[in-house]
Amino acid sequence: MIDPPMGGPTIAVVEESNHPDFESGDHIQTWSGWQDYAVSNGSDIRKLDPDVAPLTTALGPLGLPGFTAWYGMTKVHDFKPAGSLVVTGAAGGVGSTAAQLGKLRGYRVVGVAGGAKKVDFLENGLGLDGAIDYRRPTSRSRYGALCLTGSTHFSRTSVDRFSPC
Amino acid sequence: MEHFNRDAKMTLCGTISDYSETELPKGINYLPRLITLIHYRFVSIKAFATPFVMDAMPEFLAEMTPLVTSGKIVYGEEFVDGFAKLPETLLTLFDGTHNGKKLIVRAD
Repeated sequence: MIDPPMGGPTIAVVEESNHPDFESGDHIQTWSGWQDYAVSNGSDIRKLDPDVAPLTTALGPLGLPGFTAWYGMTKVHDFKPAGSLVVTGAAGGVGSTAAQLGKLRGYRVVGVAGGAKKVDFLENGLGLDGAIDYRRPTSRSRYGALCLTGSTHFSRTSVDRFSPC
Repeated sequence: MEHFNRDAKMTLCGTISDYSETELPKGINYLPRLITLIHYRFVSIKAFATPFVMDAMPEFLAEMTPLVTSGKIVYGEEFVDGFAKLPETLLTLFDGTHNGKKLIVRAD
């Protein structure tokens, strides 16, 4: 008896199907884990259309990371239509999507990440209103300066250990 | 936390950098201060986890698909060829060396 494969969403191609909704050649997103071949009864797979969006987005902004960001920004709190949004883990898959949703919805968005490269990505790649490197002790005053306006919403995707940043 | 505004809302969707920790962090315990600040600022903290809210997936796809395909939401990808590199690649998710979503691609 071997252990089940490492879990996680994957993108796969249907090799053979007796299911009316799927035929061979279909691209699907599965929960079969990390393995070469798997069998499904159709309940845990979702058909993907490569003409609608690149297939790999089903593991990114149109998959679980994107869904986490969207749900957290949309369904959890009744956010005011304006104000400040602070996103921790902002350079990652979930955080970067949440930060961009925040910008599209008109918030003043400040991202928190570790390292100069990620901070540069937040400021210049994503065009956020501000970015903070939580590994730098000097960021404490910047934090206050960046977050002065509006009500602060905090979408937290990683732990900053509550250090006085 | 010291910079939260009054009545701030905090959404908690995961704490991946802590998942592998087996001990509490060393050093000053900020937890009492944190609780006090949550009280002083009247902060509302709500948490969720996606496996419990998957019924919202169609609404998510309806709103997000055009935002992604039109480029209004950008994303990072990195491709790694071969299952054999999986273990070392997985570990980079937890040490801060990667940006954005990582994808593993099986070599044909």
